[in-house]
Amino acid sequence: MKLLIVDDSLIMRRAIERSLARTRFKEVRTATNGRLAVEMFDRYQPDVVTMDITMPDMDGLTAVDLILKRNPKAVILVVSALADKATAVEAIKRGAQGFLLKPITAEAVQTALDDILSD
Amino acid sequence: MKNPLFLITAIRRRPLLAWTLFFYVPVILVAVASIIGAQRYTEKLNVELANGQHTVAIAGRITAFGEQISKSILLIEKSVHDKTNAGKSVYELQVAADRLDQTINAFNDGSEIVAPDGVRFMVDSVTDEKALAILQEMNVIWVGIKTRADAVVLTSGPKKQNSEGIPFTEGALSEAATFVSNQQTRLSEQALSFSRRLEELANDRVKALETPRTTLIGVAAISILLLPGVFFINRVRHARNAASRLAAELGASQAKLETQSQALSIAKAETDRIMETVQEGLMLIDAQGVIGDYHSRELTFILRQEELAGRSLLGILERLLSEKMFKTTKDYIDLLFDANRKEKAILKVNPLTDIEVNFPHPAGGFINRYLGFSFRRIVENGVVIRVFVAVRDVTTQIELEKKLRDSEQHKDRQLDILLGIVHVAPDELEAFVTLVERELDTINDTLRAEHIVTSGGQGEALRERLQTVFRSVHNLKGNAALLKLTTFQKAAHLFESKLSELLDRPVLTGDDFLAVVVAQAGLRADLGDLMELRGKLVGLRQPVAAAGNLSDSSAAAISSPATQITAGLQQLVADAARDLDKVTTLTIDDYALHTVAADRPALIRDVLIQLTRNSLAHSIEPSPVRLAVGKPPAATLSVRGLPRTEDGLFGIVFRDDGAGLDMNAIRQRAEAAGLITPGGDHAPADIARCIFAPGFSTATEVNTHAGRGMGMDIIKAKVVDEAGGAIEVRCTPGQFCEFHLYFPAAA
Repeated sequence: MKLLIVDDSLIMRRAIERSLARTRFKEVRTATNGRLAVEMFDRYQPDVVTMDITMPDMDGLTAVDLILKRNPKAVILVVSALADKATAVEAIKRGAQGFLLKPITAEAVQTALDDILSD
Repeated sequence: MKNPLFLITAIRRRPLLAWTLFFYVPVILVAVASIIGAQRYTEKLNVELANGQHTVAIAGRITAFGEQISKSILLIEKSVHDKTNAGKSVYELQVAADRLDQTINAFNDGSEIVAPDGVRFMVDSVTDEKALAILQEMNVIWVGIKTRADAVVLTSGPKKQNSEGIPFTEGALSEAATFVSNQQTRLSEQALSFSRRLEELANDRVKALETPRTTLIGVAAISILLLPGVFFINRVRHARNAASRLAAELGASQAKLETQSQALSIAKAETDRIMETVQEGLMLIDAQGVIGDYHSRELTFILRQEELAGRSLLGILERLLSEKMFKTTKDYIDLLFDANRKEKAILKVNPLTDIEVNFPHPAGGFINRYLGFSFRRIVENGVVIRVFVAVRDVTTQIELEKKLRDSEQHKDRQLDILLGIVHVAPDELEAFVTLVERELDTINDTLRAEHIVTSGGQGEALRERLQTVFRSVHNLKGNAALLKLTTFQKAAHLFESKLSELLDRPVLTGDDFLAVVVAQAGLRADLGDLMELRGKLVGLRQPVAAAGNLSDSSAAAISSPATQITAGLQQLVADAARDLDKVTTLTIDDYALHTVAADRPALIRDVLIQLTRNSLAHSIEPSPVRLAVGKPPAATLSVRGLPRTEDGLFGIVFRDDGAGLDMNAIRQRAEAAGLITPGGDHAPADIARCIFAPGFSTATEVNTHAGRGMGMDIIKAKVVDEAGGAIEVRCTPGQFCEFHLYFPAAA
């Protein structure tokens, strides 16, 4: 399965990548802002996208909108450190399937990805 | 006319007709009648079962309300003793007393009662002799309790409440509490016998209905059994089966009905009890956010509203939450009801786990609370039909967490102060405490409300007051730096920053002084801590001093003001040189210093601290710069004595071999500040004098060492205004700068 990690912080991208050891994701791509995320999504058609909220150029919420407009079945996990839950509610409202709070742990990433893929 | 024997003949000829007329028809009639009758009895029985359960449950509430009354009075007593607000307990007491009164009266006279689930239920007046006797007994006990409860409510009604508590007399309350507590036990005993008796009566009534019902079912069964008759012998088995099946069905349905009604009433009683006593606000809401009929009683306390069933939770929250938070909450509830979204993901982003709400206070203003909501979906056939909501008042928890954080911070601060003062000699510390107290008093006096008011919003008058405060804080900071009391140094620096910010504002109002008052209070609290810790340290120090076997002369040397000032200045030079990267040596003529410092040690110390800090910040160049202009890399500061003047003044000179005063910078600043006419022909001494003007500074960077443009005006205020002396500045730019300070001899 294919995963697209969207985050402007290298540390965060690495942290998520390293948490994937015991998951089904064998192919991983990364994008550093919302605009690139949308381009990558078109080209690469990932099964799941992890999406940061606060990023330069285009923020995560806008990217969620654009990706879902392209493919309403896209599976998006929003990863954010934002303490106010309003943003999290907003992300889910816009169609993200899951929410993960930073700082992340490997277990949290695995659980969140399992949850998002189970039906 | 037909032959009267026609019928007999006909029967003889047609036996089926005879059977039909004389046997089947009556038997069928009996069967139908008994089935209808049995059904009627079944209905009655169901009503009786429900009524019985309700009545018993309502009688059971007498105990619960009695306990609540007793508990509330005890809580009120405690609140009054602790001087906290008893409002909630008074309210609970009132509600419990009202309900108990209603309940007992309903049994006395027969009236409608609102059951815990909100259903109105008609209670019949008690007629049974035994039950009546118990009820009389309860009436007597209740009158006693009610009198106390009413008195407590009356002397503490909502109108008499205020935030400080309620004016009860503790003695009267204590009497009421004891009395009610005793009587409530008796009431509970009676209530128990009462509800047992009611249960017996209900059981009797049920039995009275069950006997005829069973008989009728039996008759119906037998009638049906008889129906097949002789002629339908081949159908007998079938019919018998049918009959027994019917009987079995009837029996089964009856059993089912009984277990159902029993299970239902047990479940209902349990739900009621839970809803009545659970310490959590529980409710069900629909997709529009409307609260269902069932909710826990605690919910009315948490949301501070009665009659919640049928009201919109969103409507209630709209008035309690901020606009943004309310919008989020609305979105969130929409998500909860959207079955296409995964519940797990939604529960994770619950925005209301600890939300701050503001309830309007009955006496005006707001009550600030924190509520914690949690949600669960109730799904039927893939549709979210309701959402279960639990809400708790988490204010105490959050306040405790805050208190814990504050106390941790306070502890850290105390430790900082402690580490700061262990290396400071006790008498130096004493001098510092005196100085801080003095400066805080000055600040306090300057900030007095009437002064601010009389300044009447005149910006300049307020600005002057701020300048005065600034000088005090600055002096305090200098002294703290001297003793390396970093906690005070930092606090004073922050205080200065606040003052600078205010001074930079174009318009000042009295309200701006609030921050200053707060900062002042913070410093005073630090001083309190310092004094407390100093007290503790005295006990620790004495044995050490004794063990140290200090000679008298060294003890005397430590206590000499001049020696102390010298040591302090050396330390200041070392610290500032390190922080500012300027290598400096300081030489002090002890005798000269002793001469001027003997009578006014604090003043000399303050002045020398400011001069040293100013030199380090403004005048002395970093070593590379010094080397480049041909000076030795280490700068020199010195304090020497001056010959006595003709006027009998003692003098000392403070000298540094730094760049001295930057005349151009001072001139520009002075012109900008309107101290001298721009472009005019001014003697260097006139320009130099400008540095003594309040708020004057040429340092471009602000740091804890200097550069706020305070300091020189402090020196002038102290030497000239306070001590009645004089100051002279001698300066050769690029070479050196000298401050000559003259003081009158002590009276």
